[in-house]
Amino acid sequence: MNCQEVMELMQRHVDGDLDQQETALMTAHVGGCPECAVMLERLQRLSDDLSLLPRVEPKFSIVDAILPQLVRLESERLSESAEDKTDTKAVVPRLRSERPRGRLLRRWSGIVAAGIVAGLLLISQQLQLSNDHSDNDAAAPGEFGNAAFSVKAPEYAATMEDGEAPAAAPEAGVSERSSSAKIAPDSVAGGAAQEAPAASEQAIDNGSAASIAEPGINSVEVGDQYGANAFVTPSIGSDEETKSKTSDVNSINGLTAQVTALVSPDGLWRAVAYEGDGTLRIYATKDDSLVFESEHRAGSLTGLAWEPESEQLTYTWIDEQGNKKNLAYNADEIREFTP
Amino acid sequence: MIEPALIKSAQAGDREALVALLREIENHVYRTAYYLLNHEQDAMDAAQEALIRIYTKINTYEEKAQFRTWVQKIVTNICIDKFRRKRPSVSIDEHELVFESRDNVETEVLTAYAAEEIREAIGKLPEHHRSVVVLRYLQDFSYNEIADSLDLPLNTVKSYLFRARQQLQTLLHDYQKGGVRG
Repeated sequence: MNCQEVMELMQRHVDGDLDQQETALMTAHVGGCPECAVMLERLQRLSDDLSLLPRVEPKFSIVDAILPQLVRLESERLSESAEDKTDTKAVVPRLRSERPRGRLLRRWSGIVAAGIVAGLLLISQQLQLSNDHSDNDAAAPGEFGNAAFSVKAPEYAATMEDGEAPAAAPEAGVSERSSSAKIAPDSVAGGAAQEAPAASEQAIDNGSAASIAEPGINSVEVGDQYGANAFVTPSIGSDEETKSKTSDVNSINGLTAQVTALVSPDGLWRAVAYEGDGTLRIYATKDDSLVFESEHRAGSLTGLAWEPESEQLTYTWIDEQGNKKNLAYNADEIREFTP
Repeated sequence: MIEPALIKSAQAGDREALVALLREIENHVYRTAYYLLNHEQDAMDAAQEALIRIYTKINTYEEKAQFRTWVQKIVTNICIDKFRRKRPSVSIDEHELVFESRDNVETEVLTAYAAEEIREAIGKLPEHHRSVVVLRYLQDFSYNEIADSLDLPLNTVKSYLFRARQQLQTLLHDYQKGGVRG
């Protein structure tokens, strides 16, 4: 038996794949061949090292992060199977009944507090606004705030520092609680209405009534203080929350990474930009497939805006030095260019 | 181990069960993506994509295959697509920052860097060798399970794994000879 053949035996040996006879063959050869003995030792050590590689885990629950998308996929499936596509009442209560209220609230509060849900951002923005109108008459505010806080606090503790997280979590709870919605019936069936199921579900669970308009950008009602670009600023909570995000690099990388998501007016595309990342990504709303990804670059993207005909998206890339560059994406040609 | 009953319920249309199932596997999915792509954010993206695909395609899973190999097939395919589309790059990500900022005793730092070094070496392997190593050591898969996940013949799996270990051994041995570690 030559060294080449023994190499294979040694390889299988570290995987525990040899029978007794093969082991004996290998041992006999290695005993008389110092080179193979060294190789066996190295292989074994490498294999041991590989076995000890850290079992890394995501910094926050990925399932929580995609729940709104899953809810939307589900409602699309249901509305496709329903004969009358405008009958949202049949769709929404069913979604709700399938998930117990407590768990739903906990998940939503987690999602909102984490600030990572692109689809929710538009709605959240509006909820915040309706909060400003302070018609908070629904179920016990203190109770809800505490619930959101106590559930989320341990998760925050992992990546956030000091008391910043507790400041942010109840804040998210409040804006959620104050949601009170009147659902536009055609907003769920319409292709452009990706946030509608999530929003309506939330509103029903909170048992109050207010108005979420059709979730297209055009219909977002923006208060003066937010300016025309309010949808680009997905901050959900208060100033404290914003502060905590900017003061803790790790939390930006992890839990509180903010996302800007903007659906094209025709409802076909969703432009997505992460805070702290200058990369533009375009997804098809129908199946969430990634259609386009720009070159990877540092910095951030701001001022995302679709042209009314949906053929073009304009935005500004600010690099790490603060230099601004206007860019555009052409949806027909699926490419980025400098206008 | 995933309960077969949970998979059945999920396939029967129980959304609670399906979401619970996703929660059971999300760490495994992320771990594979992380070691294949060598980049935290890319791994998050890939894991999300994989979980959504599993959610929508749960009915295409057939019991004759193992559920975990079916899951790993989905995530490895997504990752291979991703790194084919991108230029290869070795990233310096948040994990290293974490190591630096901690007040570790020296030996702990050395251990951490060794793991980091192995991860980087894995990142230098060709895509299939990399996949085989990740499934073998990060998912503790057998030769057969790897073959099922990657749709490769058993002998090919072995030869990829053996070659990968030889390459890793060379890469890491050179590194040690460089005096950084030993």
